[in-house]
Amino acid sequence: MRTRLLIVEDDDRIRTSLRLALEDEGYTVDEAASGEEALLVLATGQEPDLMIVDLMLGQMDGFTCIRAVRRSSNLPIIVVSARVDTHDVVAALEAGADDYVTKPFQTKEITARLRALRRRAAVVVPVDQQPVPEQVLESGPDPLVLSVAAGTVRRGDAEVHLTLTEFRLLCELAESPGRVLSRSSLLERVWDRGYFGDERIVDVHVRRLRTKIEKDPSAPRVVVTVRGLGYRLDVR
Amino acid sequence: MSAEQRASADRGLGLRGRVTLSFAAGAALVSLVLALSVFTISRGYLLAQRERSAVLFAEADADFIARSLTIAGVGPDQALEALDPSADTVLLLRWRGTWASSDPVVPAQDPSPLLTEALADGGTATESTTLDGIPYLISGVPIDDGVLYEFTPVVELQNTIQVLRVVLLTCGLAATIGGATLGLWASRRVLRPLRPLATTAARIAGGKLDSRLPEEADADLRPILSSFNTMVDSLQHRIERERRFVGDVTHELRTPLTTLVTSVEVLGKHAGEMSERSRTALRLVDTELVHLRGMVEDLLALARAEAGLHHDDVGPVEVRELLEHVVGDRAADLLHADGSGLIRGHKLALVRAFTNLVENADRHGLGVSAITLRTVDDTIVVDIDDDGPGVAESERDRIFERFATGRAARGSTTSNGLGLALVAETIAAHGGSVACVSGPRGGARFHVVLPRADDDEQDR
Repeated sequence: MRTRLLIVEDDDRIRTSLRLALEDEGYTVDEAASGEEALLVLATGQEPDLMIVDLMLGQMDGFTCIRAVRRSSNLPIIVVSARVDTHDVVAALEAGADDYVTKPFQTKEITARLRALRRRAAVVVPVDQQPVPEQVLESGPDPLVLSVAAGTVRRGDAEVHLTLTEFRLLCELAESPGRVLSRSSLLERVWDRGYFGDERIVDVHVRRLRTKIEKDPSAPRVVVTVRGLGYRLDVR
Repeated sequence: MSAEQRASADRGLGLRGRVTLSFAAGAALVSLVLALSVFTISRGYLLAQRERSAVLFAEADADFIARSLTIAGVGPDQALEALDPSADTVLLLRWRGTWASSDPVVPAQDPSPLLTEALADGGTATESTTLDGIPYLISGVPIDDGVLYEFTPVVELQNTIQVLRVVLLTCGLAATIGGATLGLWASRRVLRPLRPLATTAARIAGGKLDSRLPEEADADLRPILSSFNTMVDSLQHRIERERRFVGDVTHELRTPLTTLVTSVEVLGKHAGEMSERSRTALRLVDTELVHLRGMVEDLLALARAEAGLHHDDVGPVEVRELLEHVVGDRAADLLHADGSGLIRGHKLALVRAFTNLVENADRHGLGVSAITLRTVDDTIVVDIDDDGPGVAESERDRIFERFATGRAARGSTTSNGLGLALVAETIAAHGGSVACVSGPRGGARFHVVLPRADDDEQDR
């Protein structure tokens, strides 16, 4: 089955050229010219597998659109932005985007990001591996439990809703508890970006992950920062 | 002394030094004037006192002698003997042409022509002199047919004056030292409010544009502080406007470029359906588009670097790791790292700068021959050498200017003349410097110096 994409972009020249280029790459592409239209497509049409959102939209800007989508969906979202050095990128990631690409981009940059997100979407359970037993990340009255096989995280009896990227990030950290993972190695493992990637992506996702799994996100105990080195998951 | 020399002398002393010195000089001047006048007045008064009493004694003696001499048979010597003067006073008498003296040390003659002249008027006169190194006051009193000179020693008076001089000198010195101390204290006190000014200015220069000076209760300082804060406000506005402008230009240029790049890619995919002529034209468009894209990216990166580092983008960067990633596999054996270190910087901007240096060596210097990394004091030094013909001395500064690419490279699509300018701006934004010098093997060497971060500053 072809991967279904939704492009949200108000500039119809970019939208059209991007549709042509991505169709050439074998994607099925839906278009939306505004945030409102995108939400309408999501509500009524066929659910896409991935979404590309431009930050500079008309009435409803990209951030609002992403937040609205995030309320009901874990759909991987790539942000397309002409501005890399402002707070826009960080703000978009905090709104719930998974990754970003800077204009002007080549199609292969977009497809590389899309592939990485798709890899995450199909949660990895290697065939030759026994179904991973549930991993208790934080014990106590309300234990935090990660189940890689089921693709779920639970705090006590309630399920914690993570986006696919957040889940993947947690899995990578949980794979080697107590060991520090540098930002660039996390970029490599989760986003398919290496040393030359933007480390802010990791920082923002860790922040978002903490607000969901930590009892006190301002004093994290599970995913801790190691000064100047990276992040470490502590099983408690 | 030229104006420049004076300026450098002023710099050498500093405001505090100058204030201290002025206070000391002021105190010295005042105490000097005071001491001098006290000394002069006291000395004059004491001398006058002494003179008056000496004259009184001399007149009394003269009176006595004059009366003795009227007795028949009494000569000057007998008259002096009869007077029996006190031990330290010496009397000299001239009477009817004969001299008599109570002490032979005094020569039998008029002691001073000036005194003789003054006596000619008929009154009493005094004059200072020394006998055998001892100061004396001579009082001359005319008597009938002669004159009596009475030599009164004034050693005690001189001693008193000497003590007075020492006391006044000591007081003057003490006042001068006191003035200097007061000056030092006052200048410290006055300069104290300037210290937060300096630290705030340094913070602002370091990129924390929202730093302001705290409100000050002192009415004299308030205008300075508020105008400083106003200046920083307008500076911040200007910088922010500039940043916004860069952002706007970024967007305006990047949006059409995006359409162009993706559309040309679509055309490229379908090049097989085109005629040979169209394909050639498409290739040209494609090449120039790559060039244009690179140029826009470099220009924008340059504008960003010029605007300074935004503190959100700054984190600890390990230089050795950075260089290893920049050279990649192809030249890993060219990298000689002697130690390493962290700097605080924008990783991706630094990657771009060092990549530009490596590409520059590839393009103009037949490839990189060595990259050496070492730490010198508080800095990290990176030398990038190539095997090319080197850069002429006259060109070494110019190559860091925009669009200053040498003639040979002009027209080549791989170079847009912004690469080294971007390197210079990026390194400068990190508080470092880059220079082109002669390499050890005749090629060019790009010498980069970056300040090392403190170890406890790793947190982001």
